[in-house]
Amino acid sequence: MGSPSDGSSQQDKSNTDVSQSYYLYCLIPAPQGENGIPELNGVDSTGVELIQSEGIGCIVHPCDGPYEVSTIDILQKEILNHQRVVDTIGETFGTPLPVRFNTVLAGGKRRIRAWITENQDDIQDGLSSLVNHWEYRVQVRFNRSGYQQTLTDSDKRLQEIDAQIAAASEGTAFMLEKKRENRLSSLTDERESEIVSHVRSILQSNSREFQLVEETAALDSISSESSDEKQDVAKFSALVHKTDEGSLGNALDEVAEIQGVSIRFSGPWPPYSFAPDIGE
Amino acid sequence: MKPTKDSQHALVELVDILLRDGAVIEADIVVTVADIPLIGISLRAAIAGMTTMTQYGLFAERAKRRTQSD
Repeated sequence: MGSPSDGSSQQDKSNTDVSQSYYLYCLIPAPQGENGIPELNGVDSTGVELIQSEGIGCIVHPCDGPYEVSTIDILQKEILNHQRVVDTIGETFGTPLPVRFNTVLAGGKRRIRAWITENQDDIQDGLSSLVNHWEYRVQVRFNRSGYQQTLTDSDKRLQEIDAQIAAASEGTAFMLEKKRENRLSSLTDERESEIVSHVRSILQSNSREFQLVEETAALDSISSESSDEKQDVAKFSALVHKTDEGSLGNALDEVAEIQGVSIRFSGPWPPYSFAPDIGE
Repeated sequence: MKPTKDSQHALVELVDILLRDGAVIEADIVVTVADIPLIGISLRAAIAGMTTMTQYGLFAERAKRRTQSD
């Protein structure tokens, strides 16, 4: 991204330079003793460092200010760089308190340490609340053509309409087709609601908390299944204890076996959606 | 099933999460412009100027949502 940093000379003067800014990745319980953080390069290929105070560590790198993104390619690359840092820190120190992408702190290290001190209770509470918990995303995708035949076969009303269509004149058949379409659509919505409710109950049992992120019809051009088919999607994020990952996956397996339903299960992510804001 | 982090759809999830979520630091030491996250401004500009992203298929859902909301 577009903010240059000049490496060691910048770091050397940062202790005294109050104009120095720092890009913040996440907060962690400060490493004990002589243990430092792993050697890592993050956004803008800049080496990350630790600023700590009151038993709390900020994972940062020095920068000149917030970053501007000129292309999606660069954005994608820098998001991956950001995530690699937070992932490695999480693997080393346990669940971090992840902050929003492109958060930049100004005022130099001394000012950042003072900010930690001012907010230490909030930060400690946030870190404690997230220990051993990670974020998982669950996407429920419906391919209607996959189960509408089953619905047709099992619904007497639809079968009656089909029989009426077969015996009707062209004009009447047209009206009955609309009636059939509405009936099938209603049954389909009902079926999808049942499945989403079932996924909600699975998340209820296997997570500390969860939220519906999105419920929409998506154009599935990233799937190899069907390049232009519209699919209804319900997307959840869940805060799950690491030990519950297996039982959640097993329960989702049962849903994925339903004809016309597919599940996308991603994680473990740092708990971005559940990290409390600091300093409100 | 086991969760994934390295598939294409997981990458889309990551982008979605990172651009929308994460703890917000409310403090005078945080650099903002008129309280608007800078990434939001620049990303919108980038999306408006980019057509290749949908060719990759990577950002298609996000692009569609933005188009619908605009």
